[in-house]
Amino acid sequence: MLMSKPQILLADNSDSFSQTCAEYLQMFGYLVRRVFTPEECSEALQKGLVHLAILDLRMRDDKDEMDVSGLALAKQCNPLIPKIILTMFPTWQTVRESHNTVGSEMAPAVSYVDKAEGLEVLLDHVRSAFDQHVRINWDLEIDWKTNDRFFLATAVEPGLASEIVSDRAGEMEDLFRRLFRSYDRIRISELLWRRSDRLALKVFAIAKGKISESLLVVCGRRDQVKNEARRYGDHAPRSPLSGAAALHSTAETTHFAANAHAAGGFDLENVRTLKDLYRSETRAFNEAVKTLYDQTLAEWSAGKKEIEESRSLDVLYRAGLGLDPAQIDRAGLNTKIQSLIRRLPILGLRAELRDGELKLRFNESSFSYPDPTPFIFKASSIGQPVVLINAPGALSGDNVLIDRDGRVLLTDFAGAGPAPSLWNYVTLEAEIRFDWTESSNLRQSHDQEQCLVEDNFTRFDLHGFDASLQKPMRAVQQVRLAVFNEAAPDFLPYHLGLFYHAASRLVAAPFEQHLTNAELARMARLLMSAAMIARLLSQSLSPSVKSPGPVETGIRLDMENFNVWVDGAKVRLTRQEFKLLAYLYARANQLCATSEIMEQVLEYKHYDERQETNAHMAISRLRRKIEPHPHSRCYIQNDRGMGYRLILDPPTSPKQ
Amino acid sequence: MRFILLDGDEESDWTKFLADALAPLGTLRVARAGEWMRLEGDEPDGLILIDATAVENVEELVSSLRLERPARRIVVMTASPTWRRARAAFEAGAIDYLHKTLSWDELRKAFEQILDRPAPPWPGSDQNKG
Repeated sequence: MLMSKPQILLADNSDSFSQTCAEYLQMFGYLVRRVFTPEECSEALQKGLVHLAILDLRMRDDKDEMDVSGLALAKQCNPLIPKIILTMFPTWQTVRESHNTVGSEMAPAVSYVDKAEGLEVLLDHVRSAFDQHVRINWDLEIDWKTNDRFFLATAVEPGLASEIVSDRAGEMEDLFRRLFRSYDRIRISELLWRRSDRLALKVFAIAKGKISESLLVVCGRRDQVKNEARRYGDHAPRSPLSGAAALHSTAETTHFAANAHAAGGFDLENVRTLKDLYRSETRAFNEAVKTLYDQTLAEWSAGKKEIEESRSLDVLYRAGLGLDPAQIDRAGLNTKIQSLIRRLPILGLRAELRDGELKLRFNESSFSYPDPTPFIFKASSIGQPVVLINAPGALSGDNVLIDRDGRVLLTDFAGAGPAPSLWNYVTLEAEIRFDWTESSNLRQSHDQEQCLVEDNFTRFDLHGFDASLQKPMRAVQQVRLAVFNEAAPDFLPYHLGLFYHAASRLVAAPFEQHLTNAELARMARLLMSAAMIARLLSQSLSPSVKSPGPVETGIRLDMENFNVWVDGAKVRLTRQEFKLLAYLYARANQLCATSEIMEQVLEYKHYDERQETNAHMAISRLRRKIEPHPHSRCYIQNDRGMGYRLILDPPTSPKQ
Repeated sequence: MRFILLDGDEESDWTKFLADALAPLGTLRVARAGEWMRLEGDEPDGLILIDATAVENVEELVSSLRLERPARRIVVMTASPTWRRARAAFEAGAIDYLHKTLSWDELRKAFEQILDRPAPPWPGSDQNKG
């Protein structure tokens, strides 16, 4: 167990008095840090670990009757730290000012002592101040497990200067001692999630004579955690089905704060995160997604729909993701994307971003999309009018917990409040698609994104995709099944949300020279997805900003999985049609006699006019599928009386 | 707003002066320490004034009032302020300690400031986070 000791800051310009006073207080177990000027004192109160401050009233000049620098400091600095005013020149006016709450909820000082009263009296006041105002449980036994106070402090405040890490770690320990003031022992268990300024932990607390309690503790930077508590109070439904565990207690220190939520009936020891379920239990994941949307989030939004009057959907999405166009370094983003593009050949993709166009070239085919970056900055009228619902904030795989009975527990309320109606769905799909999908096969990733952006909203053809891509697609399908009624018939607002999710990840991605292939593939996926959605968006904007048009050209066959793409669009063929096309494809640009087709494809051992008619009809059915429109390119040519020829790169002129 | 002066002399010049000075802010009523609760029902936010010269043990009275009504704002007024008595009054739970001035403006300004601020968080209350 790490021991925490009461720490006092003693600010007095008299070295000899300060020395005597410090030595005396140290005899009674206090750690005393001495400072001699208001400036030193101010810095220590803002940065250091201080439980109580003793401030000399005349800190600059004992002979100056106008010097009330100690009192001025007490008024200005850190109201969370209780202060005692110490003086050789007591007056009823300075007593009054020390205790006066004008302009603040807290009085500048909790106590006032005349030096002439002696050190014993000062000690009494110090003890009383600790008892009444420093609400720390010094006797609490803390079992930190692997998440010790140093780890927690640096996790929520990365980049701390080494000389203050120890103070911050002490402050983090204080935070738990304040939060669990009425307990005897706590065990800090698993780290559930971690953001840049906050993290969530499972904590088990024991008080003598009571059964152990499971609590979910969110701790982190003070303002952010306090804001989360406020948002929880303002927006969380009181219904037990809402997955919003009751706020049990809060605590704060100079730099940190913590909110403890009572897990209620949830067995925190045995809950799993949504992402855990995704990884290992598909059925449980699907059920959890259903419960999450049909029950938990339905409780949040019940009867709380309203129309947003002033902001458009793109503005709301960007705000929700912290994607402020004014703060984005456009040149830096472009450099980052160009750098990414230069490294993609290692994954089998040659890409080029030039003149507003993103060209992707895989071995056998090429694609063209609009450059997605301008769309990050464009205003859009898509999704108007915007319907707002009450939402818990940003859902993710680690902040949604599921217990053994399939009940859902939400844990992150920093973004709780009104949000666009599709927000909860878009956020989870984005996480599945952009963060959980692991594939370095960019060709398949491209086709996956194309399927998710351009195919049927809820029905995907998963054939031909690796298992590593089928899994996220199935998960996305669950989310989309849940949102279908809300989103249909216009899915563009949904895709718009995903565009900003992809864009915000691209903007936030680190610009590093040494990305792993997996990281590179993830960024490429983000870029491809953003570009594909940009093409959708461009179709809804003015002609001047429309995309440079499609697309992959030609015919592509996946022989293993019987998949066919024509001009970038997937075509569904019967087995016989596929066999016929594959036969012609293998002999591309060559004449294939009708008799040959009858023997090799249709497998007629004997044939007459009837079988020949069947062969012509089979060709006709295939043509209807691969050349569906009058303006489709003519891939299959008929050499009358002789047979057929598959042309891989026919002219684009309309059919006659 | 009602001001409740405990154990004051209703007929004294000071009480009359105080009532006049506070008139723009509210009504001053005088009550015995044991009876004041009879008046508070009419004015739950009323300010309690204690004239230190009329009370034998100011700190004891403030402490007992604070115990009975933790959220009630209490002001001690005295003609002869000292730093020790001021400290004792605040430690007992007074929200302010005022000199019995004969300036209407000073008095009114002091009470306006007092009325503007909430009762401070008292030790032991949930609001208090050291």
